Amino acid sequence: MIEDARCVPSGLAIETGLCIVGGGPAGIALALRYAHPARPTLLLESGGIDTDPATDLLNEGEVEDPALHPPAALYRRRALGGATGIWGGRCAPLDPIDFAPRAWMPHSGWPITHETLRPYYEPANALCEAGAFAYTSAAAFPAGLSPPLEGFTSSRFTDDALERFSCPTDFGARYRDALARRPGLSILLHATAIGIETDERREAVAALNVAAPSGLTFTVRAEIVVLATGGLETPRLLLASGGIGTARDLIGRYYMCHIAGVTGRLHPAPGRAVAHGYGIAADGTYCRRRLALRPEAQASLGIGNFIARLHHPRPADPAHRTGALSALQFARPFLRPEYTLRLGASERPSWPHIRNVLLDLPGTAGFAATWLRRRRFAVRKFPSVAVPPRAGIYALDFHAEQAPDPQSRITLAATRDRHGVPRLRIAWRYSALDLRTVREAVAALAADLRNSGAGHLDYTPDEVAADALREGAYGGHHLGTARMSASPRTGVVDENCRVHGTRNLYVAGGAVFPTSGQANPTLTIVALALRLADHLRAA
Amino acid sequence: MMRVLVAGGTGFVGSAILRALAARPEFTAIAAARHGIASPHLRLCDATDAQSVAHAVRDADAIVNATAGSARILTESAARLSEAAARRGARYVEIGSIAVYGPAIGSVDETAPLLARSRYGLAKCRAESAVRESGAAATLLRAGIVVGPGSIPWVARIARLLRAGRLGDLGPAGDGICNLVRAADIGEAVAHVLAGKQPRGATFNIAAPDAPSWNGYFAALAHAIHAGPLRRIGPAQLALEARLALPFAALSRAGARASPEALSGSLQRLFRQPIRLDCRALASLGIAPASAAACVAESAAWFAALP
Ligand SMILES: Cc1cc2nc3c(=O)[nH]c(=O)nc-3n(C[C@H](O)[C@H](O)[C@H](O)COP(=O)(O)OP(=O)(O)OC[C@H]3O[C@@H](n4cnc5c(N)ncnc54)[C@H](O)[C@@H]3O)c2cc1C
Repeated sequence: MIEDARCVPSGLAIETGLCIVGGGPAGIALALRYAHPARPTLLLESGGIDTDPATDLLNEGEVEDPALHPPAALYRRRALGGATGIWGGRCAPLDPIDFAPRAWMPHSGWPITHETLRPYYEPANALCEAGAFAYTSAAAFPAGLSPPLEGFTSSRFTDDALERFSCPTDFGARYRDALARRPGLSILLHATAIGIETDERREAVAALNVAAPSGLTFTVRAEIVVLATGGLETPRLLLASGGIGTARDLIGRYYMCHIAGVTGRLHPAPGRAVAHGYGIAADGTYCRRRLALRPEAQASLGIGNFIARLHHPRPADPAHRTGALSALQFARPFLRPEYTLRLGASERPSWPHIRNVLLDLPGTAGFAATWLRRRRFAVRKFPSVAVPPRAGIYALDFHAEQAPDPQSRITLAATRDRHGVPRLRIAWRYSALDLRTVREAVAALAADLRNSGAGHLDYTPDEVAADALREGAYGGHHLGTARMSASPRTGVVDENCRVHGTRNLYVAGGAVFPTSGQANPTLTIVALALRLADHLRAA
Repeated sequence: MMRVLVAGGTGFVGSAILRALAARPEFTAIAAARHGIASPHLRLCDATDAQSVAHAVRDADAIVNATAGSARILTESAARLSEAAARRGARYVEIGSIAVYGPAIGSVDETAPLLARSRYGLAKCRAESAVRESGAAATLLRAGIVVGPGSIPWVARIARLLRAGRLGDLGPAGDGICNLVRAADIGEAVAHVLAGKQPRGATFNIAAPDAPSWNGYFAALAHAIHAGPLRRIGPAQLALEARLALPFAALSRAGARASPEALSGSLQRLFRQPIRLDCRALASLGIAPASAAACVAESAAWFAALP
């Protein structure tokens, strides 16, 4: 049943078994799997079916250094489905090493292992509509899939690792019907949790205060409460409620995104085939091979996890001589701000770009046709622009782990939103280790490219660091702000995602990640939510 | 030795029933059908005609109705055959359908109300009431989506649509449950019914214990027949298909026989319908229908071998 808080009477007090706060992929996966026959479930979602600017205003906040982190409301969305309404759909699981404590990375190590999560990755992959849980080209493509760069061999990098793509599936649109007809489940839209009331000993949630858009408030009492409000709103709500449980000072700390960028100029050796586009697996999903730093190499280099893809050069630089890439400069006004940011610096379309388009008219037209057919009008969308650069020079598109750092943190600002909840203040920091990870990994890759004779990477270490920080924190991945730990001294939630020192408060979402790995987080967020559903059902 | 007359015995489900009975020494099975060449194994009979039926069932100890056809044929054959069974004191088995539950959702057992609204579903409901009114010692098997070698609507048609890229992963439009059941398992169930003693009017749902979603069925079948990468079909394409199907639906209502492979609105409603046949009662018959994977494997092998 889907209802709307705009229609509830004032002074309402709802009683329920399980209350899930937040209807993003974490909350939706949890609600779909939980389905307890005897315990009714209520999912509160701050937004509606579609986004509206007034609700998204609730996401606004302060950013300590706007050069390092996007505005607080960007890369987020308040509506059923959460940020999957705008996500890119790239899926990859965490690697076993990501869960291990690593001597060279302070604060690393999860209280659970890859094995614990493994059974949930398969159904998570299905919910994300990313096909089979097969993340090597050998497993997903029995007939083979071309390697990124022919002839590249390396003891430090594997080129067999795969990324798979969701449609990209908007969890709200995809699962709305299924949620609406699930017995025992109610969804309340336009219902924003604004505070958590605890018992006197601050060990249990007594009630949630919830606001409708009009400002009218009501309460929800539940046996169990799960915060699935995303990696930024979760610490905000916990902090705004004055803390609960034992881990007060750790809430909001260890905030991680990923360190990503496009760097260098990769010249494939003459005659070496490059495959930087996508293959389609038997289940219909787009997949791409990538270069992944092996765990042994991470250990010997003493750095975080790292992957790289071959990429077209930065579209903003007309030296690529590629019409389609230059044409993207003219498409800026039609793109979401989240994606124009990732296109690179917003130079105005200049003559060299116009010349590229004119000199490469067939290439540009072919690209436009493919884009319309396989992306614009397709439901399963071609994941990204993948055109061969005419100059034959590629770039490295890397995505690296950000190490946990207590100084990188979310706190509360002095200003409040219209429901009176203090706004976010984001102080994202990167560390020396983060820069070392990308520098060392790129250097290792360059050396191995040269040694294998597959190509030559032209770069400078300073340029790598600059490209890693060009757009600052990678947008949309909000991790670590209520980290999982075995001990209440080192984290906010325990291995079952229950807030340390509380009886009935849990967290679902990227906030619980103690480390970030190289992988985009959503697949793991969904897997963790499914595991939490099983845990709560058994409890 | 029990002599069993299987009306519709040359059809897809009927012939599977004949095979199951023929495999057991305690039965002599004879098909009855409207067309064909009469033989000791096949009696020509118009099941909607009382006289023709009376002649066909002259020495039968049991009658099984697996007749297919128009709404009128479905209802009248059930009435005539069950009346004949009652008159002779013969056992009677009616092959019914999930369609009688209409748009019900959730888990549906044999006591659920019959909500059918479609022509086919209403005809199957009327057939059931005719059987009940006949007073015959009848058992009812309500089958899910019948697949296996020879299934034109649920295997060959679906497979061709998958190959043509007109079916695939339908997203929310394919989240309904596909209550697969092999025709061979219906045959087995009939044999068990006739071998045992069922209370008059006993009714059993029959479908695979692990019925997948329609999306799941499409994906598994596409994979098994090597239909190429599964296509995601969006709402716009489905809406267009339903519109294109409209004139054909009108034609078939007007009596035309040829039905092109159209994804009509009613078919699309079925793909969305989250109805799960509760088959727990079936265990008392001592049979366990094959798993969904087995249904798909057997169906795909048959389709792949078609010319
Ligand atoms: C542009 C972009 C591209 C991305 N691409 C990828 C990608 O390719 N791969 C990948 O893995 N990830 C990607 N992501 C990240 C992905 O979207 C997130 O990881 C995912 O959405 C997080 O899920 P969640 O359910 O934890 O939180 P969210 O999706 O943020 O959902 C939280 C929900 O809670 C609601 N809510 C918040 N506060 C309250 C409150 N107080 N009361 C009630 N409800 C509340 C919100 O309205 C929202 O609906 C991308 C994100 C963006 C923005």
